[in-house]
Amino acid sequence: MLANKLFSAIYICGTALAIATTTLFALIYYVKVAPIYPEFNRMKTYYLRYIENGEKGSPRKNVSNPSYPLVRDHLRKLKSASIVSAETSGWDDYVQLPGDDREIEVDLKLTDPEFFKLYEYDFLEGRPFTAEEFEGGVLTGAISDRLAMDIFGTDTGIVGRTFSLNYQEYRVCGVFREGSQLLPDSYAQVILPLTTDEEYDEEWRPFVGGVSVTFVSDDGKALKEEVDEIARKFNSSNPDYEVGFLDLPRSHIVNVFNSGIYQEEFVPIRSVVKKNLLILLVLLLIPALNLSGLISSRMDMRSSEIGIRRSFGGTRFQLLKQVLWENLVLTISGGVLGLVIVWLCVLSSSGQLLTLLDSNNSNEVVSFNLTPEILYAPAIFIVAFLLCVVLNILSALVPAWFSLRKPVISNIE
Amino acid sequence: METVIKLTDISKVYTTKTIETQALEGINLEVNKGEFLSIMGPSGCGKSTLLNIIGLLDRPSGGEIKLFGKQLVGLRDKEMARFRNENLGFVFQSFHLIPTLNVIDNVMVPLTYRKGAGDRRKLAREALEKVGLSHRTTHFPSQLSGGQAQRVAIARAIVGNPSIILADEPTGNLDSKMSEEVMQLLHGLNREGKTIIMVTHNEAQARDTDRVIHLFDGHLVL
Ligand SMILES: Nc1ncnc2c1ncn2[C@@H]1O[C@H](COP(=O)(O)OP(=O)(O)O)[C@@H](O)[C@H]1O
Ligand SMILES: [Mg+2]
Repeated sequence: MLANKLFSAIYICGTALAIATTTLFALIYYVKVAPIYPEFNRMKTYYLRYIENGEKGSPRKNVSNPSYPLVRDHLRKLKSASIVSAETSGWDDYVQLPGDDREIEVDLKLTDPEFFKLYEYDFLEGRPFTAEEFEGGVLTGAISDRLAMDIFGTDTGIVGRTFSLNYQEYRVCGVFREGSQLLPDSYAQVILPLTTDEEYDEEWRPFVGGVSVTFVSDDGKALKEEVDEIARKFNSSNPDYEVGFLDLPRSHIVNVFNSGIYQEEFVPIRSVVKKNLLILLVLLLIPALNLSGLISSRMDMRSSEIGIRRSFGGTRFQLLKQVLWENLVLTISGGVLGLVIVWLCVLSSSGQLLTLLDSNNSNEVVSFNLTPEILYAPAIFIVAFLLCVVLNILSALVPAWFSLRKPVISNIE
Repeated sequence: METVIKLTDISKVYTTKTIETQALEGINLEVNKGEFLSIMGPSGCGKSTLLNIIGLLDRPSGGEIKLFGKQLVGLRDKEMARFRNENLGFVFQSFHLIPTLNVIDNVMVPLTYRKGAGDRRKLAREALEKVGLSHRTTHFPSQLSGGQAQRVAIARAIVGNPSIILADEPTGNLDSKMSEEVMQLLHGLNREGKTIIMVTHNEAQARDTDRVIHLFDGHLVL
């Protein structure tokens, strides 16, 4: 009896460990790759963040950001893109709190109305800034609910009120539910029209400026061809200067694994997947080995009961069912415990744990906003459940099947 | 006389990695309805093997088994399980109660595998009454003496009302007083019409039964 309880406890803990490590792994990639708030378009999103440029024939070219005129005059006309958004992130931006001489650092994005189609933020009140406000360079912006709480002490009835950003007054046009720093492409607490920046359409060289471009497209190949066509046209009419778009625009999934500029630096996705599967296997294998050792010792304990039940009329099928059900109860308990462990670890690390596998951990964010979409991601429930089923089959079905194939008497003795 | 058990040329070979053991060879045996048969013989001569083969707990390497005229070698697991459930009751030397179940739940085990068994708890209580243990229903096996445990095992063997009881050294782990109780129970059951086959080392016990057969080195000797 005591041995049985001890066994159950160890088995549940072992399962919990396996489930916790694997679901954490799944969660990390889920947050990076899956369509989640507000980046629901991830499967069709393409990024163009660099433009190669320089004298014709020179071996080493500059890599710069694209310019807003490139977007306005060329990219917005592309047939294969349904959304084209230009954006630049601020840095070192501070909001001055009213009636207080304190200020807080905020994450700022300057962009166009297309941004809100690309990233589908929920507006709790108000709306994004309009095309007219964008064209007119009106000093208005959308702020996140959490920032609204910090500035106004409330997140309702704020539309129309003003706030001070870098000692400039802006009118609130809408309040949106904040996303997460774990999704840095969309994350911002303040979203202003790009045109509120006086230098927004400056070009230092043709096509070279200070924005980053994001597309939504159903056809990445056609998009790439159209973009390259722009460069070809430009280059053929310019005798001594040329531009190029490298491998860009780059799809979201490629971008997740490759943040570098040059293709030569690229890690092929297949090798990334291979590496990750390897990690996963190790994460699973260690607890699975422990579990199978445990199970076989327990099968010995249970074997006698199985034999007795068979001799009094239990069929193989009935006993297989019994063993699987009993074990599934344990496995599911382990699964639930594993999920709780993952939640506790993610919460207590304020989301830091989810950057565990990032190679360039230069992130200075200490506390990530964890949205319900991240914390209750269906993917982790699915992964946890599937894993429970697999562990259960490996640890109970297989040994039970082998033992039930033998004559009844060898179960009893 | 109705023949309920008929073994024809039964043999059994155990094959392990290192050796082959011929545990039984050329066994022919008929047992009549209501007969109380004892099997005797030195240790390792194949008594348990024979009993297990009759009870469909082990497969013979060759030969035929007919119980109630029905050929049973090569039956499917489900049919064998059903046959055991309805016709056979086992009593083992070391009781083999399920340690995690209390007395009454142990006795109910055969009924859980039978459709339309009626009030299972009531039947189990009646079987326990018969072995004189109706006051111990909620005890666990670890809380019972050897004699009590074997009586619970007998209650379990008869709860489904099988017509054949197979007992492998049922008193082998009991002192003489407890052995006496168990033997009286078995004789009572035999008087009610049950066919009983018992393996024993005890000459006196064997003498009290209808017929004794002797096994030596896997063969029946007369
Ligand atoms: N599962 C088994 N594997 C191999 N040999 C076995 C097995 N069971 C019994 N034997 C051998 O078969 C012979 C008969 O055993 P058994 O029927 O248990 O004898 P008994 O009950 O008369 O003491 C013995 O030599 C024993 O070692
Ligand atoms: Mg024996």
